[in-house]
Formats: sequence, structure tokens, C-alpha cells
Amino acid sequence: MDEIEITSPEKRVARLLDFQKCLFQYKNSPDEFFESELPDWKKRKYQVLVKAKDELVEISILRPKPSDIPACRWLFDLSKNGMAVYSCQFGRINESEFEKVEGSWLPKFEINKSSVDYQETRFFDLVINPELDSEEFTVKSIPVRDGKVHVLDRRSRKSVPFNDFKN
Amino acid sequence: MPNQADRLSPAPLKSRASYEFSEAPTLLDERYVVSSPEKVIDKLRSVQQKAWDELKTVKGRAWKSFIRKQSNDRGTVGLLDFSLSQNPRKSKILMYYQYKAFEDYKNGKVTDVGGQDPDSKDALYCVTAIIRTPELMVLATGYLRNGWTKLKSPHRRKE
Repeated sequence: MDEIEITSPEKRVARLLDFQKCLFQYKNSPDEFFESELPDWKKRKYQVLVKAKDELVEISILRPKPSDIPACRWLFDLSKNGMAVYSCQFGRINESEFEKVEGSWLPKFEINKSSVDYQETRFFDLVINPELDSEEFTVKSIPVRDGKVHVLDRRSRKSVPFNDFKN
Repeated sequence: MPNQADRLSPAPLKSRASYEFSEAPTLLDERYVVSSPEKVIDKLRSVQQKAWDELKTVKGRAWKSFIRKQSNDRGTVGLLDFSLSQNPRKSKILMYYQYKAFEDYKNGKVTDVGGQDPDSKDALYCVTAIIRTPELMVLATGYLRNGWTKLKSPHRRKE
């Protein structure tokens, strides 16, 4: 059975496909990270520890005392536009290699692992700042073999055949 | 110009031993704790912001493999096609998958996606599509039935 569902954008996406933090540094912009995520940790009594050596900057979020075990840790490389070459968040480790593509540092290879799984992503055919068609991010752009599959809009609780769906 | 088969040749997956947590991450020791963290963060932030501002859109492809450690090398591999836009924040990721591709990928064989007949049992099919925009999120899933799914691959040989 095939399904196409439309939901609100806040819904969490399966980790298997969620690699935007690697491409765009985070799922958040630098502003969103430094103005929302870090201050949010501080509000929760976590300590933010910063280390620096040459081009490397490490930011650790330490649990409240008496524990000093980091809850999250990022290692940024200033020579690669400040990209995170390593991160560990609640036991899930992310390591990335970057390459310069048309002046931007983009991921070449990423490992994402935890105690139970191991994921590798190998990027290729990367194109920087292409013109994207306005239809690129529409439901109709999904490659459906035939129009019999229905589009279920969970926001309005309506279901229509793909061929009859209007963006 | 590399031919399509070269571009799509995946490097073989690492050996099972490397799935384990063998190496300690190269993190900085206590000697490098800074006395004025704000200054370091400001510098990092400005470097990142400059790069962020220059990166408007990205298109690309990737091989993604997933292995569950306790299940004796069982795993999946898929070809991802993605388009990302920074402002407004939009993304589309299509995942193409088939069972045989995993074995080919693991063995370092070329999986010539573009050359496969989409009607053959070995073809790669789009099985997952995720679109995110500020207004909505679309999740499409197709299930393989004996190598068939209703979602079709655009990676088909041009007749």
C-alpha cells in the first residue's frame, strides 16, 4: 500500500533521511543555534564549556553538577567555514568529512552511529546555488507511477486521488 | 567528464570491525579551555554566518547505508536525491531502494542506477519522499512487492 501524507511541518522526520544538519551545518541556522539552542541549555542549568586550539573550537554542554558528563559536544573547524566535524548528542555520534565545492565546504562523507546502529552517507554530484524550479517542493513533484495513490491531508482530514490533487 | 557508471560507483562499506566504537574522538583536552568563551563563540559564529549566507540552495545525491549492529550485517542501502533551499527553508529528499543494491554496494560493485530498466526486478525504485516547507511536510512511502512499487524512478535510461 502506498501513501502520501501531508502534515504540519513540525512533525519529526525519520533519522534515516534527516541529514540536513550535515549539509547546512545544523537543522538550524547559526543564529538559531547560538540564540536559541545554547541559551536554552543554560536556562536548564547546564554549563557551556568552550575550548579552542588553532582552527578547532569545541563546545560542550555539561550536565548540572555533581555530574560533569557532557550531554552534547561539537567540534568545529574554522578552516572549513566553521563546520562541525564531530558531534555527540546523547550517545549519537556524527563524524563528517568535508570538501570544498565552488567555494563552499560541503559534506563528502558522514558517519552517524550509536550503540545500536551505524549509518554512512557518501555525497556526490553536489551543485551549489542552482536555480530551483518553483515546482520543486510541491506534492506533484513526487514521482508516482500512477495516479491511483491518494493524497491524505491530515490537516484537513481530506483524501484525494493524486491526479486530482492541486498544490 | 566521468561517465555515469563512474559517478555512481560507491566505495565499499567498511568492514564490520569498524562499526564498533574503536576510536576515541579527537577532542581537545583541558589545557585548551578558554577564559573568554564569548570571544571564541563570536568568531565561530561570524565564520559560520558568512558561509551560511553564501549557501542559498544545494542539489545533490548520496548513497546512504544503514546497518543495525546486532543483526549480523543486515542492513539497507539507498540512493538519495535531494534539493535544499535555505531561505525560505525547503527541502526535498527522495530515497531509491531495492534489496539487491545492498549486496552490490557492500561488495563494491557498480550499481548503475541510470542504466537499469525500471521495469526489471533489479531496478531501483523511489520508496520514500520527504518534502518540507514552512507551510507543510509531505511524507510519501511506497512498499516493494516482489520488486515492484507504484512509485517510479526518474533514473531510467533515456530511450
